[in-house]
This record gives sequence, C-alpha cells and structure tokens, in this order.
Amino acid sequence: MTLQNTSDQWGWLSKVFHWITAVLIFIQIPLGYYADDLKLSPLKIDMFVWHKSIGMLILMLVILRLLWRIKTTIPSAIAGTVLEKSLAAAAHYALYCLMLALPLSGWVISSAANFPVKLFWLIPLPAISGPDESVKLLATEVHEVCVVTLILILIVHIGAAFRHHVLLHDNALKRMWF
Amino acid sequence: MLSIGNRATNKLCLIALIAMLGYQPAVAETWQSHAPNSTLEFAASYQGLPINGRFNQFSVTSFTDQLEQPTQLNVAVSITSADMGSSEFNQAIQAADWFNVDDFSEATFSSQQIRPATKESDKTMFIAHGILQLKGLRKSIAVPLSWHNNSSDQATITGELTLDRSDFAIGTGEWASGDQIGLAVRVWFTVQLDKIND
Repeated sequence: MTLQNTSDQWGWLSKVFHWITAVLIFIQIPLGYYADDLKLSPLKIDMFVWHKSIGMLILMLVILRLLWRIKTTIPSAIAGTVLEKSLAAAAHYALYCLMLALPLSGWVISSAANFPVKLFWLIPLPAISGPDESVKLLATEVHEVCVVTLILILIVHIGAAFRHHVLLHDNALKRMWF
Repeated sequence: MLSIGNRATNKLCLIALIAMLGYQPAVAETWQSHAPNSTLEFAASYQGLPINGRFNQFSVTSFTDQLEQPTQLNVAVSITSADMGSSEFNQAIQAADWFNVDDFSEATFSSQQIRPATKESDKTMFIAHGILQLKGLRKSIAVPLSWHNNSSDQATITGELTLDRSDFAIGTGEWASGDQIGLAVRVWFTVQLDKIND
C-alpha cells in the first residue's frame, strides 16, 4: 500500500485520515447529545471536555487532511451518471465544510459561554470570542443545524458506499479500505 | 491610705478614661460609593483557568476621621446581580448548592477595625478587619485596600483578596471537592467614594 493516492486507489495516509475521523465522529455525535442532555454537574463538564477535545482533534485532522488532499492526487470518480457523480462530489464537499463548521462553531459556543477549556485536561484552549450571549445563541443554532445536516449526509454517504459495494459491485468502498 | 482594691479601681478608671478619649467619636466624614465608577469582580476557576464574574449591584459606605483615615467600611452586595458572562453560569450559581439566592440574596461586610497596612508614613494602604456574611454564614476576614484621595470630596479605593468558597458553603455536594471548580476565589474591587455633605 502506498502513501500517495493514485488515480484509482486511496493511499494509506488518506485512508487513515478517513477512518480515524469516521470513528471520532461516531463517538462525537452521540457524546454531544448525551452531554447536552445532562443536568449541570461535574459529569456534564467532564463529558463536554471529552466532546470539545475530540472536536478539536477532528478539526486538526480535517485541516491536515485538506492540506494533504491539495498536495496529492485524488482517485477519479467511480463510474456513474453525471447526476450521481455531481451528488457524490457535492456530498464530499459538504462533509468537509461540516467537519470544519462543527468544531469551529462549538469552539465559539464554548468561548462565548465564558467556559475555559483544557483539551484532554492538559492543553488550555484559547477563547475565540469574548463572553457574549447573542454570539453564543447564534453559534449554537449553527452547531445544531450543522450536526443534523451532517447526520443526514452521513446516512447518504454510508448508504451510497454500501450501494456501490453490495449492489453495484464496484470498488468504491474497497479502495478506501485497507 | 489607699487599699489594694482602691488602687485597682483607680487604675481601671484611668484605663477607662484613656479608652474613652481614644474612642471619642472623631469628626467623621461619610463616604458613599458612586455605582457607575465602581466595580466588584471575582474569578472562580476551572482546572486552574479563571472564570471571571462581577456583581453589578453593590454599595459601599465608609467613614473617615479628622485625619482623613478610614475608620469604618460597610459593604452590601446584591448576590442576585452576579454576572458570570453566560446564562448557564448565571442560572447555575443561583441554585441552592451555589449562592442559594432565594434564601440569601445579599452579602455584607462590616469592618470592626481598620489598621494601616504599614508602619511607615504611607497613609494609603489599610487592612479592614471585619465580618463577611455570605450565604448566611459569618467569617472574619481581612480586606487589604488602598485609599486614594482624588479630590477633597472624592476618593478611590482598590483592593484584592482571596476567599475560600467552602468557608461559605458555596458549591456544595458534588461540587464541594474543588477538583473541577477550585476552592479559592479571587475578589477585587475599584470603588469611587463620594463624600456626603450633611
């Protein structure tokens, strides 16, 4: 397995980025809803430290992934209709946007709510907004709309991967697997 | 001829006289805080990182003697006016395990004695010893403060102290340990005092 992507196969670095991010997002979404539902308690604060820590980790990985994506070749689109290819491209584009917007809006919520954060109980995260109720409410709206959109697109993304693998028998899923 | 008893009585009388002279009410001036130019702030901490807050409503009354030395300092703080920068915090701190504002909406400090902080001729640094009543609990504290006269009828006092929230049962139950939310709370203030003309 090569480091670099080729025209028909993802390289191992892109695969590692994809699957680590996938696992983190699958932890992150339920964790966010769970922590949000808890009444204010030390447990809630700890759960949000996990949520914020994982969120910042995802943000960092997505930035590195985008830099790598710019630097390396991208495997060509799987055979399909123009509409299918456009939809796939749009979904991938939206996923990248959401993977940036969610941690960034979460960071704004945390900052505007005046809550200091130490990522993984170690690294202080600087505030990117002063305490501000209206900024917090706006960022919360963005965060909520983004997460619902992300869930919907992930359903399509995963559904499409299985459709390619199970029904169309092409290598869409295989070329992202190890 | 004086008996031992009489001598003791005389001595007591003398002490009483000196005490009376010492505590004779001086020509007192009354000072009152000017709210728009006064701040009372505090910093709680989470994992050692500060969470700043402020009390938006409080008042300070002070008296000075003929040497313009403060002799009395009284502070009343509206606990319901506490603002920690977000609705979550502001809601949470009102609850029974924090400030319990339903039962204790006001904190007060009354000085019992104000001493110069230094023996030198510096007449701006003082320590106000007194009782802080907070959440229904009373504790002796010492408040270091500097008194700066801006003009003949306006002064600014500033000061900073650190309180232990567990002394006043602030943050009880699952919050009591201080592992997450630290026990030490820094408090600081800048208060403009205006002389009240009778």
